[in-house]
Amino acid sequence: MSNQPILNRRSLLASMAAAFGATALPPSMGRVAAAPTPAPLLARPVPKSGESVPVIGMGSSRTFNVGNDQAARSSRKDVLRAFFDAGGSLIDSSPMYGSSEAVIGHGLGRLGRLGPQKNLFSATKVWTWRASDGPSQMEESRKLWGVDRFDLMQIHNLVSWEAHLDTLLAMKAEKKIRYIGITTSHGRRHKELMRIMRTRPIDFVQFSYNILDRAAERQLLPLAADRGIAVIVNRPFRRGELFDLFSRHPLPSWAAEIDCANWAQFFLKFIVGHPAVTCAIPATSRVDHMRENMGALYGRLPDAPMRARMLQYLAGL
Amino acid sequence: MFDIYGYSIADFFLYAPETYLRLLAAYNSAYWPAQIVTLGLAMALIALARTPGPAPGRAISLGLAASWAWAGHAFFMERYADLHFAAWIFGWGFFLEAALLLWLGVVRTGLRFAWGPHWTNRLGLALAVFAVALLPLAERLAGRAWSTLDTFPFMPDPVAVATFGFALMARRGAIRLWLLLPIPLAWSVIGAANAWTMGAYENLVTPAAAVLTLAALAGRAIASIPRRT
Repeated sequence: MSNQPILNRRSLLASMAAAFGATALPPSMGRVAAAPTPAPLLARPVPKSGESVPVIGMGSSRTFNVGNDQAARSSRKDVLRAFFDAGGSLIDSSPMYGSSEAVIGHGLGRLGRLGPQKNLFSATKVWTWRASDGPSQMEESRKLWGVDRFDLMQIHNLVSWEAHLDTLLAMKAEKKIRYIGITTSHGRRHKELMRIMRTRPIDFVQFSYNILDRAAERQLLPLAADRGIAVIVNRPFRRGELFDLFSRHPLPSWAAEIDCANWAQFFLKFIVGHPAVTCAIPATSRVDHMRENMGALYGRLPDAPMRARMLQYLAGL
Repeated sequence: MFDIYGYSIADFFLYAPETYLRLLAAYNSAYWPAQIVTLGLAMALIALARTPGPAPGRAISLGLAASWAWAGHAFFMERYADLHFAAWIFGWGFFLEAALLLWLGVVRTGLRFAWGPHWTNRLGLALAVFAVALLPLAERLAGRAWSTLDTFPFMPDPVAVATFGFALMARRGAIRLWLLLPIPLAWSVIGAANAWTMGAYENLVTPAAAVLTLAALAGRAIASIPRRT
């Protein structure tokens, strides 16, 4: 069919597997090498440090909150394995997500992904209304994950952010965490978030952004770029709604020009194609979906004209 | 300060419907076939209400208190706490309702129940029977697996709906009755939010029962105001 992409999933996965052999992440934004195949892993630097982070990470809200269900824990371990096998690194969670942190820790332990040089970038959040409860909650999270320290600790949804920020700055100075971030998961508190971004020394910011919800393009993303703040994008699929809306339609044939083999990659590459985005964190409970998501970690990224074309295509559906 | 402004309903139920149903299946199977025994005990409680009096009132209050305590412990504290950060708060709410029932209905013997003669009493009887025997069937008809049905007194929804039923069967003018309603009403709202998020629309019968109960009790109270002739 003429409207199907040239790149199929098998060939994409093969190039992903080949690319995973490369241990050094690219030091600068976008694709690192121009070699036609296999495509290198796409990564972006954390502006404050220059450390590279793969542009596709993993969220765990809902998908990893499975309690003590051993079969479900085992299946999530397989999802984690697929994530790491494809070159993934950044995993995001929160104490608000029920058992997600415990399930992540369970999977990391089973997969031998704990400890140095294991290609894990651990990111969680502090979520207490009383700042004095923050340190004990973060310590509990650390134990659940099984890590020595978190790479990134974020203040969840701006809850008690001023007091928590003082705590996190002290922890960073003591090298108990590496980066500090602040999160929201929707567009209603952007003003407050921008005030913090303008005035406080944060390394990461996390908010929602996807091909339909683009309010962040107006001010948040430019501000992040201007202030040198790394951006993590949550709800890249609008909690699955994008698939409900568009997956019955054919992927445009020109999606192959940016190495998209499915809608997941189309949606994700639109997001990480924005130069101010550091990484997107789709969440899934399925290995096949994880592999589809991680396909967006390879190949070409859309430039501004291509992103406009992507928007135009969806508008016409 | 708790800031509701930054959250949507879905943000408070951060698990997949499949995960929730698997939890229910594991929970129910852990106690099976106790559900059959408790069905019989619950029907016996409803039957006791046929004879108004202090002794049946105490027995019913004790049975209801045990049901609230059991759902609070076995479901919220032991199971749901794996998925939901606020399960312990819900559990303590259920314990508080159990304590209220014990205090008002057993210690103070202030609660008496009857099947009639008022229409609200009969409505209460119907609600109690629905909670105990028909709610699981309605869920089954809605497509839920047998292993995931809400049964009395294992799950909060049938316990809350049955309590609404007994509230309507309570003797007219029992002012203490109103003290028993806030926690079931609160759970109705929380349970409705969970049902909505999970797409388990059959469980919206719980808030519907709450509204029905409030309307019936309010109607009964208004009707009991002496009219000027």
